[in-house]
Amino acid sequence: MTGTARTALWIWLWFIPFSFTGCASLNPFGTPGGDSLEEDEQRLWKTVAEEEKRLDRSGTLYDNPAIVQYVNEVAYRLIPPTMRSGPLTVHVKIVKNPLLNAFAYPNGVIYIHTGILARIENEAQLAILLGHEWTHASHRHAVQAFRSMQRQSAALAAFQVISMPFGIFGSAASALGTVGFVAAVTGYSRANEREADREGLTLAVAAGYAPAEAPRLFEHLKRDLERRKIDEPFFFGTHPRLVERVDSYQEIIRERYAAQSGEIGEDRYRRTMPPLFVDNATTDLAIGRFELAEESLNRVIRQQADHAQALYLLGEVARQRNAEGDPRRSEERYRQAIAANAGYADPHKALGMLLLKRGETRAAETELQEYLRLAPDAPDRAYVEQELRKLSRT
Amino acid sequence: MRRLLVAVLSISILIACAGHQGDWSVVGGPQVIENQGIEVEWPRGWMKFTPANSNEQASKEGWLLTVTRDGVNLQAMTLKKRSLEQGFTNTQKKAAPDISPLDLAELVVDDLRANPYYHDIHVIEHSPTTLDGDPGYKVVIRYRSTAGLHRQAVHYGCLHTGLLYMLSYDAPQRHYYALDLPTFETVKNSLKWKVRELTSS
Amino acid sequence: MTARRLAAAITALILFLPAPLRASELVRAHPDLAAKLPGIKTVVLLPPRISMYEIGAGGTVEAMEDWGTAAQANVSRAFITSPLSVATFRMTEFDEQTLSPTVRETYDETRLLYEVVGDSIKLHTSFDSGPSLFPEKILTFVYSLGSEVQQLAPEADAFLLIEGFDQRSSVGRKVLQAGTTLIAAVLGVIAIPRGGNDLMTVALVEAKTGTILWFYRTTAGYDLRDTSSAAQFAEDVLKALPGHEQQAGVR
Repeated sequence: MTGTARTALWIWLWFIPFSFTGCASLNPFGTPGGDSLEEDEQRLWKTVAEEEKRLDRSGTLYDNPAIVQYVNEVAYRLIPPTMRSGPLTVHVKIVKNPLLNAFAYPNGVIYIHTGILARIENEAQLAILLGHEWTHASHRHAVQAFRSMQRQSAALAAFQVISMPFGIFGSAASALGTVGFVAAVTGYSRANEREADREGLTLAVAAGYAPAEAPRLFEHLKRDLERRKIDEPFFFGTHPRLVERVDSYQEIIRERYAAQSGEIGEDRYRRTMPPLFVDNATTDLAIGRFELAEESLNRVIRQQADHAQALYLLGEVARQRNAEGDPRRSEERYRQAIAANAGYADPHKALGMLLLKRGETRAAETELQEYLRLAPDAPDRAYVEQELRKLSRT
Repeated sequence: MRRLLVAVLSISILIACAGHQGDWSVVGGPQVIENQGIEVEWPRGWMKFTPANSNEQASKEGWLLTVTRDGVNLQAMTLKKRSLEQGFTNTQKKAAPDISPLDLAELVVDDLRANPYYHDIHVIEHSPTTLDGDPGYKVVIRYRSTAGLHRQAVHYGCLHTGLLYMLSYDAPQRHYYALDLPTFETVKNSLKWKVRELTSS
Repeated sequence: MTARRLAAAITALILFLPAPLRASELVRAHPDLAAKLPGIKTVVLLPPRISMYEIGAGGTVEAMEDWGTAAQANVSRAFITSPLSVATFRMTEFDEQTLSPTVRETYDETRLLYEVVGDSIKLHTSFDSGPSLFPEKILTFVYSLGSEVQQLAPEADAFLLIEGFDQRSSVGRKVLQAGTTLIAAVLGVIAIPRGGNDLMTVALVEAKTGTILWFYRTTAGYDLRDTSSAAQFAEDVLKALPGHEQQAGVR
């Protein structure tokens, strides 16, 4: 080593202690001495409050009151009474986004996408997912991650990403703040995630839910991704992370809940969620994810066979997919939708256009006129009138 | 005011992108867009951004140019042209070569609905129109940006010589949208196909 | 010490100069500013929006809400009480806490619109924008927030909007960067210390039309957590406003 290099090394070593912050251990909220916030944590919470304000203002929140209330009731049932009065807020917000995602801010507020709610099969699975997210907040995983990152400047590049090349809806990740980005996209350390699995499941079981639903949920999501042959950008949309969850939950169940049964709450979930299934299917349909849209809509039909909007949208799935047998299926669905609710305008137009393409002009005319009668202010009125004018000339 | 920082950073990125991935120039008067078979008269004194050939995103979207007076977030008239095989930016659905203007318009709306930066989309108008004689669509939407700002946009489009041409105007709803809408309509009416002439000559 | 090392040391010294000595300013005025200024008596100051960040030793950027709150309060006070503003206008503070739902909506939309308008001004009317400079916008600086702004305060002749951010290096980062620079000097290379960025914008907006009459941008690096620095900022802004002396004379 040359003299110059030795001098440089000496200076560097002298400065190193100034660059690192300490890392005191953190007790979970609700435990003795665990309810006070350290200075950096207080700042983190203030940052989070800003991120939340931005998300809430952005028009991305799903606002069906009955569904929002239901999801929050499940969360409330999950959280022990001792924790409800602590510094954390028990509040679940739903985000209009068809991708698989749920994440918690360090203050306890949980954001969950319509996409994952549309894939969840029952209330127990919802409770288990909420329990996992709540544990990230109650066990202060965010502040641990921040402290760790402050010591690893190399991790910073991933931490300060402004935009990401994830394409459809994945780019919504870039709209999250820094804290939300870590929580929703990168996830926490493997140890933290396993802790969230374990403690979250403890909460769900204590609330009376069946632990066996935990691996089923993630196995279901994993199969879903495998079938679509594509990973999504968020934590719960990546195959390796789902495999980890399945393995982790199976191990926890083997160790602690081998003979434990519990409530599944499939009926309650299916009874409450259809409006969300329909709304999420509408977005999936716009994106062109026909199979996902069809699955969600069929869940609605299984629950309520005369759900006019779901029937109409199933007709749209068939029409737009246009696979073998789809034209017949779409007509059938439109007619079922009209039978379910004759005052619902959209299937009349869809059926009219379908009949028009098939050359059944008189029947088409009747349906299109009915559409305009039912929806006089329809934004596409000019199109329909144009078609009717053409028909009147034939 | 984290949004401000993000906005500034985004703008910095935009500057960086603009610097390397396209050029700004002053426009005015009739302009035949080279090799694109189209002539449009842009408002005099406005600024035109032309993406560089190396701009992959622009090529993917068929983005030919954007014209603005005050800045692209305040009014943007954008011209795109692409083959149907290229598909759309956000929706995975494809258009068949014999697609009707109505179905084409529905795909355009789906593409907007599948855009995560467009929130609370309301279709205000969805009507047939012509672009230099070719049957096409007009879609007017109102939406909110990710930040929450109310915006409004008009999208014209049609199939011409088997290619999809799209001309749009997007502006904040307050003050800006109405201000330059007549100018945009003039631009739309100035559009002329050159491919027909080239083909026939 | 070789010339190379000397150059490196001098570079390091220059780069450690206080930010105000490296500042850049941008001032833009609407063509009718001079004609309109005499009619502006009552100015309503919208709550300043100032974000402050601390850059940690490792380069992490952390939002410091307390600093931002202090900076906003200091800047408000500085503008309201500045002798220049007192002599020139009746300046009042806008209370964003007690708005009716309709006014709240107008207010939120105004702030959102100002963000995109401000971005366009910074990007297209600044000579350091390079190829993004719009020459026409410098000759004819016309931007607006829409006549709806009057609904915020019917008594206002104009509104003052102040927004910005400031990234400050933590003590650990300063020490580490000083160390890095010294090491570089010893090794004879130039290390550019990466400090934080800062940017403040101020806009005077005509209430009746929403027209931005005057726009000011600075990167002078004021520490707005400090009341005297905030007072200096207010004084520099108001001094830069054309015709403020005449205005003061009129009243």
